[in-house]
Amino acid sequence: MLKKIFTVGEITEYIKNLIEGGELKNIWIEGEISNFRKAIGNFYFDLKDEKALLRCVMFSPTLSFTPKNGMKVIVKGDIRVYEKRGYYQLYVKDIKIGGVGELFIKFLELKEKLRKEGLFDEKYKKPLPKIPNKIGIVTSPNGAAIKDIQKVLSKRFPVKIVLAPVRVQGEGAAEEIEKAIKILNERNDIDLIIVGRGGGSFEDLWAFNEERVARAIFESRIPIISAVGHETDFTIADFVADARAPTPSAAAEMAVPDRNEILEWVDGVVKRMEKILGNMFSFYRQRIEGIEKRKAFMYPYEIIYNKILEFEEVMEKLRKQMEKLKETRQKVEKMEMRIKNLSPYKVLERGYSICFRVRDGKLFSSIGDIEIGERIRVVVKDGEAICKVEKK
Amino acid sequence: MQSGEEIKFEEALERLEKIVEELEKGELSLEETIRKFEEGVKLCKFCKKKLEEAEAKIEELLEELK
Repeated sequence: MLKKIFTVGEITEYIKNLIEGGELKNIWIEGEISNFRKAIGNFYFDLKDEKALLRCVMFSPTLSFTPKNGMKVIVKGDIRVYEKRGYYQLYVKDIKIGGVGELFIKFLELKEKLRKEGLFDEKYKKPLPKIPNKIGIVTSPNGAAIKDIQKVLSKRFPVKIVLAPVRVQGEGAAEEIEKAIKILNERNDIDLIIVGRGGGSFEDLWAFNEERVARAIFESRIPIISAVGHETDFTIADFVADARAPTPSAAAEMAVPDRNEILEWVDGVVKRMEKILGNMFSFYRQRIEGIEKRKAFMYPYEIIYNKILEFEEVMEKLRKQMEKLKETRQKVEKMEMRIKNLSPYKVLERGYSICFRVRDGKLFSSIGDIEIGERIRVVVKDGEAICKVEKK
Repeated sequence: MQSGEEIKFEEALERLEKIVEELEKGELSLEETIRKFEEGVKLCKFCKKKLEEAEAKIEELLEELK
């Protein structure tokens, strides 16, 4: 018990310290706006529910909307004591429309936590493939999202897709989405994933604000485009994903290039190539024409005739050689005739004979050349005989 | 033939002519005559063989060129 008489100022300061020294800073409070008024640019209103009322003030507000009486909102701020009037009030820093309350705060808390961890950091964003080989799509098989995606893909660039069917809201949806992302990551044919669903209420989109989904997206080795709800809906998945598409259709547009744009580009390339080829052809044509004008092409027979003439010359030389040979042959034959007529053996035909010594084959013409008992060879016109000298 | 098979055709022909001339003069002894005659016959054969070879070669070439 405090046994002391306080001044109003003292007790108010005591209360102020009690309230402002606690945890009532940056808290989120859900309620309905009433008694809203604007004065010199500041907002003054009461936040109430069935049980209570809380005075609120917002200085220099920067909101995208103007709060109205009866609007269900979540406000963020500090509770402070206003000494002069003797009451406490909420010094508002932010106002969000909607009656989602707890969920919204969970969303904000998780967002803050993951942001601090760096899951949203630009440096972790993976680039999307220019033209994906196969796109994995994590969404409901019955939803509008898959139909929208298919429609856009078939129009822009027909690419193969693999649907990982999941529930996108309700109990267990987040687990299924998480698992689908992981399974797609185990395949080696997928190089882009779209995770998303069509529009819905904040609660409907909740699965995409779950931490397990955020972490699965962050850990995916395959780039992920998030496409949840409509333009104005932001989920945690959108912040973690490598790219955020406002709608599933937009995700499909982001995923693939427009085939017509590519065809146009290819067309341009083809035109350039045609020009290059055309230049090449005219260059070679000119060269070929130059060659054609040369003697060999203009007068091909002349060259052949020359060859024939050369050939004839060789033939002629050979023929002359042959003739010369024949002449020589005649000469040799004549010589042969003459030598035959000169044969010393011709005398034999007239009855003479020629004698050789057998011992050395020498012709002898003197009686002194032979001995008695020696053998001699006597050649006559039609033969020869070996004889023995008996007497001389 | 003194220098064996290596004698050239032209030389052989020249030698043959010389031998024929010598023999025709009839101034040689019988023994010399027989020796020269035998050489002449050999040269004659040699020349004819060479000629035949050359002719065959040229005929072959002419045949190839046809």
